Amino acid sequence: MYKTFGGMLLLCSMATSPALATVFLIAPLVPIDTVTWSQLGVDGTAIPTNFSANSGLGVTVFGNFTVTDGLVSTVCDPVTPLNCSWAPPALGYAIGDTLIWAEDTNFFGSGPITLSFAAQSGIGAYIQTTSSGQFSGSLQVFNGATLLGAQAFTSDITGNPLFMGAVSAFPEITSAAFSVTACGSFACDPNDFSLNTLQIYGASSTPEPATFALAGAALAIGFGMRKRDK
Amino acid sequence: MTLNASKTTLATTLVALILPMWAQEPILDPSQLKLQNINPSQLHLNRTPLVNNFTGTPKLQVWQYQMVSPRDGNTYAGSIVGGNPFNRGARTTTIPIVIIPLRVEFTGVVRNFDPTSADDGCLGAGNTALSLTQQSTIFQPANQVMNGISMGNTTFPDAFQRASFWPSVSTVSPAYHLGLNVSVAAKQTISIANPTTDGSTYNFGGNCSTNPTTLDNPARMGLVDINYLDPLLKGIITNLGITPNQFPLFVLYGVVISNGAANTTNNCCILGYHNGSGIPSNPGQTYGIAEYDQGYLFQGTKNISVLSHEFLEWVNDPSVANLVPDWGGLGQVGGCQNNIETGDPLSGSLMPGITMPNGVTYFAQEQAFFSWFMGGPTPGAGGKYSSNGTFGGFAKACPNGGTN
Repeated sequence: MYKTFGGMLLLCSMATSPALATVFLIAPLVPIDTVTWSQLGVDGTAIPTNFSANSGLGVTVFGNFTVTDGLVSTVCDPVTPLNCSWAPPALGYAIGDTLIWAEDTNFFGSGPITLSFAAQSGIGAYIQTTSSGQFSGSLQVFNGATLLGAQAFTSDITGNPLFMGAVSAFPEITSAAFSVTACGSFACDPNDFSLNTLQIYGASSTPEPATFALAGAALAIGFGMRKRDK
Repeated sequence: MTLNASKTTLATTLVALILPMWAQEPILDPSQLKLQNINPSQLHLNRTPLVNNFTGTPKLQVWQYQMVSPRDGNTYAGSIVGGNPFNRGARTTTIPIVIIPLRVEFTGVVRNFDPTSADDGCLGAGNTALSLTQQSTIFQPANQVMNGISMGNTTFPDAFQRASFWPSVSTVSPAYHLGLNVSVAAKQTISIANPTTDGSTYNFGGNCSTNPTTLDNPARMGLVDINYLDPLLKGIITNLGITPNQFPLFVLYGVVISNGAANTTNNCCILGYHNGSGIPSNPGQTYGIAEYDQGYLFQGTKNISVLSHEFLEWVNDPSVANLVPDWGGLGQVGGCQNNIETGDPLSGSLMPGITMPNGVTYFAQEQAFFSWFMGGPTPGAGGKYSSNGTFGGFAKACPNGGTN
């Protein structure tokens, strides 16, 4: 069996949804709006357990660390690593990006991170564990208290930032829970990770070039499988 | 783990040192003393819980490691003070350090040694062992260079930790730092009858002190039996309300420690040691003690060399149970040892001096990187296995020991 979603050209998977399909993304679309975390302070600023931030278009996002509180973290420039705490930069974690870091003042992980907002068609963000090595994550999206879908994601073997996103056919996503479910290195704390800019997608959002490339590869694999089925 | 010096001369001399009560201190030759090593287990150090502090909170901030040693193919796990230098997200982990000046009062033959009192002949006018310790590169930032690579304007402990894992720190975790929040406790005083097996004083020739014996810090050396001293230290830690997340560091001056009866230099001299009441994943209440060195009595030691030795050993082996393949035959270790005691294999080797704003040139001790104990390619700064390049390869197997 195979299945492709030609209409949206997304590399994605169907969620087990009680009602409507939620499509999960492993690469970003072009966002219609973003929530950047630099508004929460400079690198090292403590973020309370419950916090809020605004998108560029004025959407208020309410955030929550599950365990305790967190920190603002900035991705370092390797040449001049000043006023920063996250390195090295990578795809999805560009130099100067501001992250929310689920690690409390006592160095314990404080994730998962839940973000709530007015109903949106789609959201997504890059995530990475604090400790090195490969990791797996999970994204759950809700409409109110109703789970729209959940999807597991796995990073590459080196643990580069992982994109986790979801879109629906219409604006129904009102919260998203980002979590890490497993990480490989010894003494790794799966509750200790960071999250980059929250991207908000609308009905008109289109895949970014990288997404097209990934989707192309997936479609090629899909067609290959179809041929073998015949 | 302990910095130890022992008299090596003839038994006839030692017999002469078994002092009758009220005798004047014998006059001895400092050259009779040399550095050697004793393991804590041999010292009979009590690792039972300190009152209220074994499982107390908050815990000491450590990061845990687990790795296969290329030296023997076995897996070793342990913990190191601070944050993980391999983390993508890294920051300064600030550890509370409590310096405890320890005044030692010998009664009978009265001699008092006090790190808060002057000793102009040895320390310079206006200085005390405590003030010089506080102003040293252990606790104050300075331009730190290790194996030709700048570690920045930072303390010696932070520089050493960064240098130990330099490829990661310089790329993945540039924000990694070992910060120290230093406070000084009220001076603590212990009393010891002199001369007894618990403690005795000695008169060594060539002493730099010009203080008369009626004043603090006279031209004498005090010696205290570790078995008498250690319970007193634990009592002080408890009385001061120190918690496991803090590192109490006792500072001695003019006094060293014996492994057994102190009325003979046969058991002399431990210059410092550190200990913990727990296990690697939870070191419990850790503590250390070291002398601010006058620089004349022991070869290869100078001002903060012993303090830096114990301090970094505590950082890299807070529980004294970070096990590694056997190594030895170097520094103060004549036999074999199997834990990450960074100072022991290089006792007597000093880092280049760093002159601080107080005009004092400080000499920390060179120490071995993590990779020297574990083996394999080194992540140490400059591709070396120690902080001043003495070790260009990792430890050899013990017995025999030595370094590659």
